[in-house]
Amino acid sequence: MAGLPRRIIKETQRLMAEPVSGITAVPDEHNSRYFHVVVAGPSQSPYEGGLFKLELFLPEEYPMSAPKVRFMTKIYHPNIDKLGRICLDILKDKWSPALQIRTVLLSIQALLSAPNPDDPLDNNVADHWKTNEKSAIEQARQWTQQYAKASINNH
Amino acid sequence: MSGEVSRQMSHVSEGSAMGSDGNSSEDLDEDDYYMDNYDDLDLDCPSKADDPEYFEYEPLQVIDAERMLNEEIETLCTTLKVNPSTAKMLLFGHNWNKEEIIDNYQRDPQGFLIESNLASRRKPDRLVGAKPVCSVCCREVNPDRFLSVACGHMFCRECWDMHFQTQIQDGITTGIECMAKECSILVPEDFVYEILTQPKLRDKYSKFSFNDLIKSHPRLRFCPGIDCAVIIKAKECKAKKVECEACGAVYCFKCGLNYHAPTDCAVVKKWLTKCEDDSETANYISAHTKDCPRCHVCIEKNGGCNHMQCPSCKCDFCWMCLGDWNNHGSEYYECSRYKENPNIAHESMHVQAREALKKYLFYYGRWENHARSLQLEEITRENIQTRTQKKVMNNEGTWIDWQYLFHAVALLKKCRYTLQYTYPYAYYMDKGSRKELFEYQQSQLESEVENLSWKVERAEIVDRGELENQMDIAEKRRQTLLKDFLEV
Amino acid sequence: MNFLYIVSLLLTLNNSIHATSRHFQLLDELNAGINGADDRTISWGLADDDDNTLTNWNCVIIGPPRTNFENRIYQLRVRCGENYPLDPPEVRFVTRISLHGVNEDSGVVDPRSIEAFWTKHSSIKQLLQNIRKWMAQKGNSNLAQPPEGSTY
Repeated sequence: MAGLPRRIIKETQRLMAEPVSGITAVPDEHNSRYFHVVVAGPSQSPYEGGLFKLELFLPEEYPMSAPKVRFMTKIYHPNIDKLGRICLDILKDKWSPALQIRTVLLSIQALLSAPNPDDPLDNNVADHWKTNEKSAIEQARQWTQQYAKASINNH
Repeated sequence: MSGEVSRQMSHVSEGSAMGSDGNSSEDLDEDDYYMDNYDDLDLDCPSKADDPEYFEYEPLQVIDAERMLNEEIETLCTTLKVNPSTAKMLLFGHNWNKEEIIDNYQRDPQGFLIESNLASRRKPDRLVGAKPVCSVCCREVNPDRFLSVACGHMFCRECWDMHFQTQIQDGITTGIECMAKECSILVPEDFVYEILTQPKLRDKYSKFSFNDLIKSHPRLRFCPGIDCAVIIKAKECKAKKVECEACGAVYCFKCGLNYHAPTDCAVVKKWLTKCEDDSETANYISAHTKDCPRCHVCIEKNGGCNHMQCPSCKCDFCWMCLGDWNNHGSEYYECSRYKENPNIAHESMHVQAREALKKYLFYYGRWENHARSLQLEEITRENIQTRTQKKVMNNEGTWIDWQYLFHAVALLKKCRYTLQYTYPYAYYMDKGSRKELFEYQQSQLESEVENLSWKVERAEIVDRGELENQMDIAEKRRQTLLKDFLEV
Repeated sequence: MNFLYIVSLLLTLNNSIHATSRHFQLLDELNAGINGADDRTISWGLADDDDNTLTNWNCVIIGPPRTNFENRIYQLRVRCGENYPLDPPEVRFVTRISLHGVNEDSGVVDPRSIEAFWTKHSSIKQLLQNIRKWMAQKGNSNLAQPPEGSTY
């Protein structure tokens, strides 16, 4: 991949040198625009103890366009759907070229700490959250045990 | 609004379909008949005061619309002493409400510009060193290559250019914001033009931002007709009927969807979405054929009229509810009214869901049926055309003598159209006396429309006076319903 | 540091077996499919809404006019493998069809005819458009067709 923009090189270097706590992002060895990401479930959230795999891709227009990010590990969350798509404003209309991979991943981590069922991506999960939060959180915890732990051994 | 004064509004909705058309030529007897029957209120302008659908509008070409916008922008420039870019943004951001903009600006110019995202109290970034680093591309750039908009966030020219390219490709023009995070300061067009290099994108920017301006203008609307370049200018932004004379499209000025009186824009949108979502379940009832309720012969509907007569056993029945036509009477046309199960609240979820589907299918069925009847009336019109042609060839009257038949079909279509759009209205109405009144009037209209349809299909054997009387009654029913329920 | 150790293990174990852009391209295709092709003559969507590998797709082609396929609805299954879009998808008709390049007994579309036009920039939409074009070609358009609606 010739002519990788300076901006991407800088960001990658910094991500490796000063990793964000609870998050790793490693560029793919064949494609420097593609990152293998792992986010640790934040403490005091139903995702605590889980490791969630994500993939992140910097499109040609980056940083004028937002990175593309997706959960690969199954997760029970009102703003993340079954295909791993994430409903987050800074990935869409609130994207600014001044934001970085780092800020995006931090926002995703924050989304795990604070699900927002009022702006849902998965309506079923959001309804569950709104009608019976306790049971929804229990379900999220169970999925964390079932999918976010096993993935280490399975792959 | 200097341009508006000089131009006379040219279009008036043809609410009084029969009267105005016939006035000029033709035999006087008929006109007298209409005049007596029709408008006894306002002789000078018969339709305006009385017609609930009356609406003033005119078609503009792109160039006229451009001129009109520019005039509005210039007026604001002169009054406020701001540049055209700023004036444009202010009008765009404040619904083209000039009075309000001038008021607010004169009270507190700086505050108003800040509120409009065109100014900022922020101190501009200070560039440090001989070759400062642009925070977007991370490159070292000469200080003279750095630029900012009102907020003072400095980025290099190349990054601004890239930013504009990406935004324009996404269709964003008037709403382009500064690149800094959480900064909503808008980028004025003169700044864009100064930086944007590609000629192709400059054209695109100018085209898209013109579209943005038209779309944001409450008194302008692009004609939704396919490949139609006309822009409609109305006196006020209301949910009223526009007929484009260039492409023939008929639509609501406010929302651009097919004209939908008496239903309002939000409800009709909800209804159309619902129909689309539920199309699978509704499909089975929209079959073209039904069995005769008495002898069970399969009957195909080949005209718009819902008063059916079985070709085999000759019984008269209603296509919609399959009930005996004679019971429909003119007294009360029960078939347009959905009877809700009174004990529904105590039933199980399952039964409630089925009841909800039943209710929807009831209204959808009638909606769909009138839509189809409307298409079939077109065939009726063609048939009349053929028959009239024959008659004229055989010297049975002239074209002019038979014109009333075409007026009758046109009126029938108009009434049926309104009738079709009463069903979404009724579907979303809350139970109560108002709904009862609505359904009463709807049933009245339903019944008169079917009578008219029946008579139009048998026009040659029906007496002309009788037919015209029926036209008058049907249109009156339509007008009454609209007067009571059309809220715009 | 335990976390970082586990993670690095995880990442090395998992290094790019699949084409890195695969998922994001397929998600884009899914979105495009929801909006539908401009003329509604073809459509595509996930066979299973929950399949986060985005592998199996249900597709429909409406037969082109003035051919023996006219107005018929043809269902297809499309399978996008791990190396999609570098490798073309596997395609199989569900609705019975008589068409050159389609196996008569199984409905499977000959991979060679797909490879003939497939590039890494191709999409399911283009695939379906191409198959629909075949239907309209001479030698195909007037082929006698199996009873409407029958399946393999």
